[in-house]
Amino acid sequence: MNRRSFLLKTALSFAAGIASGSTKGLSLGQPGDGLAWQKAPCRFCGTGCGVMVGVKDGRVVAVQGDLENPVNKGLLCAKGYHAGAAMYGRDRLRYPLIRKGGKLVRASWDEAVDAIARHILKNDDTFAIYGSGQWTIPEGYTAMKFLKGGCGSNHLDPNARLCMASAVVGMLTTYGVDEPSGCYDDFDVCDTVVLWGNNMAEMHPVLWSRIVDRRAKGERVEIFDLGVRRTRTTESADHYLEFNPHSDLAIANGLCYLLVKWEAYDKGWVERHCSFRQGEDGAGKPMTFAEYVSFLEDYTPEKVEAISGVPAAKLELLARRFADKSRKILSFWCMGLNQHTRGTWVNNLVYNVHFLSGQFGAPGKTAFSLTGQPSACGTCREVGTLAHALPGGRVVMKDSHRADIERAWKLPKGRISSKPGHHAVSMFQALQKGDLSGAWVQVTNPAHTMPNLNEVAGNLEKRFLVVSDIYPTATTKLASVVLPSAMWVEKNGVFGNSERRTQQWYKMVEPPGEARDDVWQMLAVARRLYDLGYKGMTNVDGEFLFTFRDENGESIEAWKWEEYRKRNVDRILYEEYRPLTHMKRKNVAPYDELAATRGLRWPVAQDERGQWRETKRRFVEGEDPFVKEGSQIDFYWGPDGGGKARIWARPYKPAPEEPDDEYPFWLSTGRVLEHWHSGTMTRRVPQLHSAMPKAYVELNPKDAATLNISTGDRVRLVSRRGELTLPAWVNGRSLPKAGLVFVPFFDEDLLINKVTLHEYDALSKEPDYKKCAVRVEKA
Amino acid sequence: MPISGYVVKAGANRIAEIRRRIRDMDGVELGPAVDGQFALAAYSEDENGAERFGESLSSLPGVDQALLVYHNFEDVEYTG
Repeated sequence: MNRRSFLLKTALSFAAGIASGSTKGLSLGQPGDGLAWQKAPCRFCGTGCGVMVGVKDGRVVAVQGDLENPVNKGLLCAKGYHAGAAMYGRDRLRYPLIRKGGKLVRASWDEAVDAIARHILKNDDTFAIYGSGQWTIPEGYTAMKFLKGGCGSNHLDPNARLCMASAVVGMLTTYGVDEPSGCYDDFDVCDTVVLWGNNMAEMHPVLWSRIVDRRAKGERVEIFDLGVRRTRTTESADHYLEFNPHSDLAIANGLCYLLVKWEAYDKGWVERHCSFRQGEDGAGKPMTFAEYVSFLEDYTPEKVEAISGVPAAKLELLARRFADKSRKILSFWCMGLNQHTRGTWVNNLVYNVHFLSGQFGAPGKTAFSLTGQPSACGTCREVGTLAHALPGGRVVMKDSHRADIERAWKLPKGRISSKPGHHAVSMFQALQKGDLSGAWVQVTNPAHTMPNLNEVAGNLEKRFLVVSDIYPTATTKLASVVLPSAMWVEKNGVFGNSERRTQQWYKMVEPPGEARDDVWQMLAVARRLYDLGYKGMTNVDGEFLFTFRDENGESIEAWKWEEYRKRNVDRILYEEYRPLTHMKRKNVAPYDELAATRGLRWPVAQDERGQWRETKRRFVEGEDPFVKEGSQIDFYWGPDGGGKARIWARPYKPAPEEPDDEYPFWLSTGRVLEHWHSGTMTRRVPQLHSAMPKAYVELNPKDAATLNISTGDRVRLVSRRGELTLPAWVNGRSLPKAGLVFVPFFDEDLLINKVTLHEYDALSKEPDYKKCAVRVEKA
Repeated sequence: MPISGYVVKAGANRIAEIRRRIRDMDGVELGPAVDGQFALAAYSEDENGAERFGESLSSLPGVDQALLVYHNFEDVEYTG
């Protein structure tokens, strides 16, 4: 049998195993194929699918879904299958580059590290780090220790601020601690799914298939799709509730109104587990149930219909589902609710609906925030790589939290600043103005993804901009120093996904050229600062801040690449971080346990036999080890005490910019199935690029007819901030509601963020990419 | 020569017709049909060919989903 026949048989037997459900023996790659197979979580979205990666001759050559991983059970989406190919674009960055005479020219690592260290030496209080939800946990932890512990500055924030900050603040203000209660197992047992502005079929296709496959097996799963455009998700929905942009606040309050009016809310559940709160800020003030009922009077079905455009009958249909105690209802949301100038409020309101109906804290009954990056949860939210945060749920404003971390990192008292740093949008505004002297950008592309690019991300080329990345991007073009990074299985890593599952992988192949791990890059600069006499990189014992010791107590010189690559520095950093997760009861599993499994969902605890047990559902008695016996549900971090979460009176208020005579259309931006965020990786995969080569503007056919626009015509979108000309698509992949146009943001050549608005949620600081006003002109 | 494994899902009454159509395509091996789905493996000359094959599979009348579940690209050079 030749190799092609052998591989065809391999592919067929694997696919047949999945099709028949007879997957035993297929899970660890394909025996006899000459490839070395290892597990890794996927590099792309926040789902955390398990991938089996096949390596031959030092190169990733095959990918299959990991049957042993309970997240995806062998399935992957198009992006996941091309995660390997995404490493092998011809233009991978292979050498450090330094800007000289206006041009980026090849430099040595020593030269690049020295240039960065010397800038920070003179500007430590005005130097920022802008990171990512694609940072591994050890990478984010290192960046945090470098800047907050080493430089005494809190100007560190991630791109996750742009995608899930509203979900975080929504949880903090609702039940006092970040991260969801439920898990993916709930997807397998719910009988009603409510999608709040969420195109799950394209954005989280593997999780979506987990739901629609149940229908294929004859199970009844009813789907409500609440959206501003019909998408592939709508095709599978039983009910489509099209609403006016920003009016989701009114819809959620309208559901609560009906539950209360019909006396169909779960009185016992609410009395045991909830308190009521009003106000516009994060703290609010107490209110009585009677006051809450009075607040809801503004959200009768008729009033909600007037605001949202959703017919009263459809609102009542959905409310009846929540009123039916025999049902198990699961709500999903992602960017539609989070990228919203009232993102925190609308997150609060979705919990309201679930709490009032008692649809929370039992299998199939929960409200679940999906995430877009592989470790937005694990790194940004749990490690806490945010301008106000410290590891493990701590915040810089609290004396005791700073003291904890100063002790853990052996810092002199007072080293960590109590003043929050610049959050993402503010950071780039400060760079634009010159209030910050420079920034180190890792694993992200802000010159492409910041809102209102012309204003927010201007002048970057005038600052000391360091960019660590794997390919040239809109941001590397503006950099003073470009550092070539190792990607995915070219390094060790740990990610945390949307359901609190922490997953680990080992390095499998070498990075190309002189590309190196981001952790090493930071250690090398930290050490150069130490060698230059910078006090911040010295601990109270007079040692280097990142002093690691081997099992014999000998210091490991991890800042030297040849030493670093021989060691698993990830394991050392992760184990240093792990105890810091205990304070907020987010106990993550030991590194070696993660290595031996497909990840574990925190909080973990050891049973009497010493086995590590994960937690499927937080706050639920019998599942979460920290829940008090007899409490059934215990929101043990509830901000009002007594194990209670908050039901918030948050009103509908209009969006900051709405269509008017001059700019009569809504513009909404988003993602497409083929590309991941700014397309840095997926645009290098020929299949994905050819399937979706260029951005476009989608219009409602009636609007297109009125404007005499057909598919392929050039259309100019003009906002108060900028304009962009791009091809029209009518009756394309999605159907925007009349008066709304949609543009995907992946295309570096057609930057829609020159048009978008940079207004952000006052509590979460997350900008609204989903709503601004534009004029549409045939070009 | 990328090699891909797919699971094709379709209505039970369309399976036979879909399999007949696929059997006529070059470089395809079919697995047995079980409960409205079946496996297949295919090779293509290059990555673009693999992409076109996947698209044509998805667009066959009666196909609900064509899920890629295995992909080997060991002799494909640098891309992009």
